Amino acid sequence: MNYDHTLTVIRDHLAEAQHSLGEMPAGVPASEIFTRVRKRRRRHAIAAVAAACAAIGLAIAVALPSGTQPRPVHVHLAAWSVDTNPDGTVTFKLRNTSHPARLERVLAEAGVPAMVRSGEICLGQGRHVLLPTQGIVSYLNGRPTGMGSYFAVGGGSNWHGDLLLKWSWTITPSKIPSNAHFVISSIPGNHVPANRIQAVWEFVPKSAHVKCAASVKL
Amino acid sequence: MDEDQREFSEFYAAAWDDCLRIVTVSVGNRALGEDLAAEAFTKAWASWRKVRGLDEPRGWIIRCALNAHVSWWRRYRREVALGSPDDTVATGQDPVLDGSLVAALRRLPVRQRQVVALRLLLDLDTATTAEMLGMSGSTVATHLHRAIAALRRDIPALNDQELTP
Repeated sequence: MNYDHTLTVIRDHLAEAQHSLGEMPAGVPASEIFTRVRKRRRRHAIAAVAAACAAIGLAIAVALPSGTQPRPVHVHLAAWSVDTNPDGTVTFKLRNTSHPARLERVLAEAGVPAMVRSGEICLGQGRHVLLPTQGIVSYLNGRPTGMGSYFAVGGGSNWHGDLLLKWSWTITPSKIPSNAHFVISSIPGNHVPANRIQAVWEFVPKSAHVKCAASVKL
Repeated sequence: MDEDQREFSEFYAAAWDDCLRIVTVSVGNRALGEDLAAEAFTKAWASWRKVRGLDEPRGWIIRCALNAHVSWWRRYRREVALGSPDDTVATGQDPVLDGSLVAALRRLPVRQRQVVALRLLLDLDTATTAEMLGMSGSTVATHLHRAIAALRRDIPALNDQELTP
């Protein structure tokens, strides 16, 4: 028997098998199928929304500092470094304010709230806006200081190439009032005149109005 | 009932019996065939805008049902492995489904069985079968050729045309 003949025989026998099955059960009503699909779509939509919410929640959890609980950080960049010490204090070294958003985030994770800007100078506005730093910021450049709440350096010929600060603080996060933060800003490059601020940091209330400008008188 | 629902209802009413028979013969189990066909029609309604545009929507139903059968079989096999070693897929002593040809059909690899279902049971041509299964016409012909060879090996009576359905 050749291939085509076998094919015909098999087709005939399978057709016979189909018909020999007898009366087949009726399917569910079409309305039942519509309902099933509607329910599935609703489930999928809910699952998609839930997944999206979970993803957003996870992204926020990763992006934001974990509430008020600081965690140990050890981040070292050429521009700056932040290290949590065994006693809970934080050593913060600043050479310039590159990657300001990341610096803000890392400081926040270490328990040091700060606003960081690069390319402009930011200052809290109003009289008596500066907060005391005694017991909070204990050292500057490795020396004990009678810290003020404001520290600025001017531009001029002593800056070579990009701004290169040598600021180093030891900060005690647990003593920072919940309503206070640091405002740190600098302008990279060597084109800032001596009578203008090249870099500045200050300790001010979070509610203080902070004004930023490309050039600020020293 | 909107226009789409009316159109699907008509297709469902006209195609259910044919599709159910073909799927049942292909999987060799009436209850499973009914479940698979029902699931395939449900999926067809979920994708009705695509399915309605096909030359042969019934082919889509059968392919979908037989694909679902693969998933079902994988799941079932795991369940059997965890259960009693005596568990088997019972066909329920069905004189039609236990026939030598239908039983041999069940032993074919899934692609070959899909080709047989579409080409011989649904009587689609090679080009439409190829489109349904996402393969070339020559691949369809190869699968069919191998399936026929396997059936002839399995059922020597085929050569004498003396076999039970």
